[in-house]
Amino acid sequence: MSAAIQKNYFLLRRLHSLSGIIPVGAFFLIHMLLNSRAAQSPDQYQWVPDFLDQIPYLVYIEIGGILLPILFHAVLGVVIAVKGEPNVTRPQHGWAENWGYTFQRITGVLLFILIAVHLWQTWWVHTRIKLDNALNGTHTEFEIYSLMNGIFVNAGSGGAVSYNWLWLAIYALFVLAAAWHFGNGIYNFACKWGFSTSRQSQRFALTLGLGIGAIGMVMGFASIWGLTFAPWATAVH
Amino acid sequence: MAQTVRVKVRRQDEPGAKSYWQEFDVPYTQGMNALTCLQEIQKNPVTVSGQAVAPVVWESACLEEVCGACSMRINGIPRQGCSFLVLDPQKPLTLEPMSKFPVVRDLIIDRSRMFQALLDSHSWIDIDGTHDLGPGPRQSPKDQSWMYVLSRCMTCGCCLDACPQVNEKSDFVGASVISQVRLFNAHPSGKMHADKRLDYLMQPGGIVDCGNAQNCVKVCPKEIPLTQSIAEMGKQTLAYGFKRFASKPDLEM
Amino acid sequence: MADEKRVIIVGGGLAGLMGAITACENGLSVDLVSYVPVRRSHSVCAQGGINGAVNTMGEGDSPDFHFDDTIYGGDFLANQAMVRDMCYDAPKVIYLMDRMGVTFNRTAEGLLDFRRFGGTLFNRTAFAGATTGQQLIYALDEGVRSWEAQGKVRKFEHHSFQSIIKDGNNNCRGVVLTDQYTMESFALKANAVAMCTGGIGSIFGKTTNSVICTGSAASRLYQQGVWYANGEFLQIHPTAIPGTDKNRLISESVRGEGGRVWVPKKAGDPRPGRDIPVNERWYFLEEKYPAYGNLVPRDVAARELFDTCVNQGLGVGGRWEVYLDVSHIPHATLHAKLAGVLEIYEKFMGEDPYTNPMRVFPAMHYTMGGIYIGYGTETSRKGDLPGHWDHYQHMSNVNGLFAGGEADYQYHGANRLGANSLLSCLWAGRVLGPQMAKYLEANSSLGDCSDSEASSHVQEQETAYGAVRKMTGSENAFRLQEELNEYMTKYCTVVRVNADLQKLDAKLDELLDRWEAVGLHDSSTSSNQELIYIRELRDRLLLSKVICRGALERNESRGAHYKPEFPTRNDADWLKTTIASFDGTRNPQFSYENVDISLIPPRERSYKAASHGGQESK
Repeated sequence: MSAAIQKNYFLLRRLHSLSGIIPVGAFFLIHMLLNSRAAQSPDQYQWVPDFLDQIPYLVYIEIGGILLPILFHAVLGVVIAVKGEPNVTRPQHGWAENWGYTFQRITGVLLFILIAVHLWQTWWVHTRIKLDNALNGTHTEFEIYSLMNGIFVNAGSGGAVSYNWLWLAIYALFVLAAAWHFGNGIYNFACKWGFSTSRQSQRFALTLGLGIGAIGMVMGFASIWGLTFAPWATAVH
Repeated sequence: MAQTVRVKVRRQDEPGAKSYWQEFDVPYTQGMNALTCLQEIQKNPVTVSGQAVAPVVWESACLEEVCGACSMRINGIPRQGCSFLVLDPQKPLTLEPMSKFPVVRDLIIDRSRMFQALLDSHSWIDIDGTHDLGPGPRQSPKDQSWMYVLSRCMTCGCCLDACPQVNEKSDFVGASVISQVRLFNAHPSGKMHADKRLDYLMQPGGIVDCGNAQNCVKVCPKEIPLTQSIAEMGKQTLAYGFKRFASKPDLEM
Repeated sequence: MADEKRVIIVGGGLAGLMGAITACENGLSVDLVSYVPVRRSHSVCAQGGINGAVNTMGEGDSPDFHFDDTIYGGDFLANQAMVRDMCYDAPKVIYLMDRMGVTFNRTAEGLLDFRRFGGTLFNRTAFAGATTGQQLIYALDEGVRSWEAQGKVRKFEHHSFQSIIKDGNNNCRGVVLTDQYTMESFALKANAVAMCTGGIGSIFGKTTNSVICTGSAASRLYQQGVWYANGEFLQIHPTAIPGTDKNRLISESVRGEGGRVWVPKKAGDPRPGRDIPVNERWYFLEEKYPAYGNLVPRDVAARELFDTCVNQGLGVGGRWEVYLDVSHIPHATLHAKLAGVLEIYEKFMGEDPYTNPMRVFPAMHYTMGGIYIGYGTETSRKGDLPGHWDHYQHMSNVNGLFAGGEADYQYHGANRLGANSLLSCLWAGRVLGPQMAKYLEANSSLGDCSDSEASSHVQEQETAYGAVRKMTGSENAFRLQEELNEYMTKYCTVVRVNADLQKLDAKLDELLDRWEAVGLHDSSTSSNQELIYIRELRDRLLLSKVICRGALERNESRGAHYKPEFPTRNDADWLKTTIASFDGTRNPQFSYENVDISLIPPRERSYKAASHGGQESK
């Protein structure tokens, strides 16, 4: 471990813990909230990238305010995960909190991969279009609904559709993992920062965290429904 | 024939050697505990297959769960051998050394890292000398009652054994010393040197390496609220971190 | 390494740790040797508390009353001058421990709380729940660690004391140790050595002592010519839980907080204790000793319990058990003051003591006798008194060899009062540091022990181990130990009859013979506990001889030493310290020394009525 990391280890670990709540966790909630417009209609959904594109310096905010913090949280998180030796499988060690610890690490590593894939499938497509438009003076529209719909639903011949169950499962897992990781993370945060010290208040923090995570999960599943199973999801084909 | 208990012991002949299992049948007596089983093996060190072997060695002292010597993994769980009663002779008993410390021999492990942590963390109350300086600082009965609970830590190591964050890849010091720092930082005169202990806890391997698996508190034989202590110290280190950052370099004032 | 400022302390209990701290304060460096990590020493088992006449309860208590209670409780066998010094220092010791962070229970005003203990009518015992010894030793362990951090203390934990290095002029020059892990023996040099090795419980097997109270160190010293005093005086604690591996102490503080001892009036009453109505219970201690009730001294209580069960057959369910009952005390009070000990009962008996009367019986508990030590000339009293006044305080008959704590014979006479042991250990520790410093200064010309002297002592141990390694007989050392325990407990505890003691003496000879036929099962060179154990067993057998023969010789009853054939105290013949010395044979040589009774003239000891310094009322 280099001297600088050693010296600032406490700060780094606290920033890791904090970054999981703000901005990463907050972003997750807002992201789910906005995405859930897909459960309203494709137009409502299209409003999201259109609206975001109006924010000044968006690319810097995206990179500096979200991407880098996620990267920081993820890289340090993987280091942390690798250093732990989960022991839920030891006899009589299967306590709920111990499973929580284990899942936090499993979901963390999983999310690292899934986020990368998700960025490749969506953000990078959008960004490339914007770059193209800027460099070549074109006016290509970024159509979010058809992009996402295309991941989950395959158009068959003659208007028949089939579902892409693999990607559906991956995204469902993605939502679950993110919701759990964030919810349990809120509880961890409350404990580690000393907001919850007593057993009772730690239980409260866990309930609160999982409740917030559950809200994110519901919104996430609503988005998937809107993109896949809603009446308009197959109508577009 | 008298009833017997099957005892499986994970043995290791010397530091660094490979471990192996041996099984013994020992006579059952009502009220016997894990250590009584080991004492019976001493009196008749013969395995179930009739092989005469060296008696199993282990550490013990008080036999009433206040010294912390006889920690071992019994049926997988780290705990004190003396207070593990053998209630059902039908059930075999599995004894292993705790897994997070170097094994010296059989069930004897080297827990010196825990004592080193107490040394490095300034875990004591500074006094000016043993000469007569009158009574100590007053304390409320309420403070005494929770501090007393923390002060019953026997440095037995069960919390380290159960902790997924304590392992060869990590420097994590474990729950016990964090809880001890909380105790000393709460003492009216111990408080005066709180910063030294917080500096210790803020190093790599300190408080931030806790993963909140909360196994420590479940295996603690003295039911010390270790996770509460960790959260409390999380708070104190954070506040101190802010202070250290914000008021540098006037801190020495 | 020529280091005239280094001392060795063997034993890391309260006395040893306090000794290490005071030695450091006196500019000495300390090699601290311990069988176990010092934090695990037997002192952790002390439950009830520590005595000191602080008088925060406004009862008019004073160190003089404490002194008188101690002497009277010890049936006048303790040398008085040093006891008085200890009692006067007691409040300061308690304050010191308070400053060191011991979590003593508090009063509403934030002051130290005190409770009652046996053999006194005052609330004189400071306590930290029911694990006072544990709390005290942790504070001292931490205190020593602060010196360790400064490089003043080197610890040799997991090391077993083998012998002192004694030169031809009766000077102690160091010690020989065996590393319990590597089994290597080596010498440590120092011209002052303090033995704080505690009691000898293992001789009696199932006692309230830790298994590390092997009695070996005391015996080795005795075998090297160090005098062993008052060996026959052993305390039997009235209330312990009989167990398969040890008898676990139920502290006297349980009675101090109002616990009551009783048996069913009807012999063999089959009902569980909680179902027996109060009028069918016999509170025999309260009835027989109206002034002190359940808080008579331990020797008296143990005898009464023994008599009730063994002679009158009134034990619970016909067994050798009586009830110790706290179920009438509010749960919150019990939890705040006695949780630690009640938890032990619940864990090991599987029965809730908050609602069920506990079942207890006497068990061997404390070694009043021990290494003979001088009183020095600095005590508050000097002059024409017996013993080695020109010696340093706490120094044995070997120059530079000190002893303190339960390992020495001072302070408790024929019976120790509850909560005086922690005090005597801490006080001894306070004396040891300055005395060793003074001794080293006065004897600076001694210089360093020669290497050849040291290595010849190491060689002796290697030879002894080598001999044991060759032992292939059919006897099992652990079983021989059980026989020793059984005989010692049966014939040499609460009641002593000369014919029985003779049987015991013959048995000890038999065991010493059979020891020669012990076989070693473990040939390992790593952590070979059996190898160490076999040698310790012989040490115990030799020390048992001192106890047994000392008891046989003393034809009177005094304190814990009770002979029905000689039921009264005989000051004319036996107001004397027994001194055993080793002449190379199995049987000790006895000599007797007058006791210092210069401050409190002996008077009849009876707990039927209140007693303070001869005054009849409080």
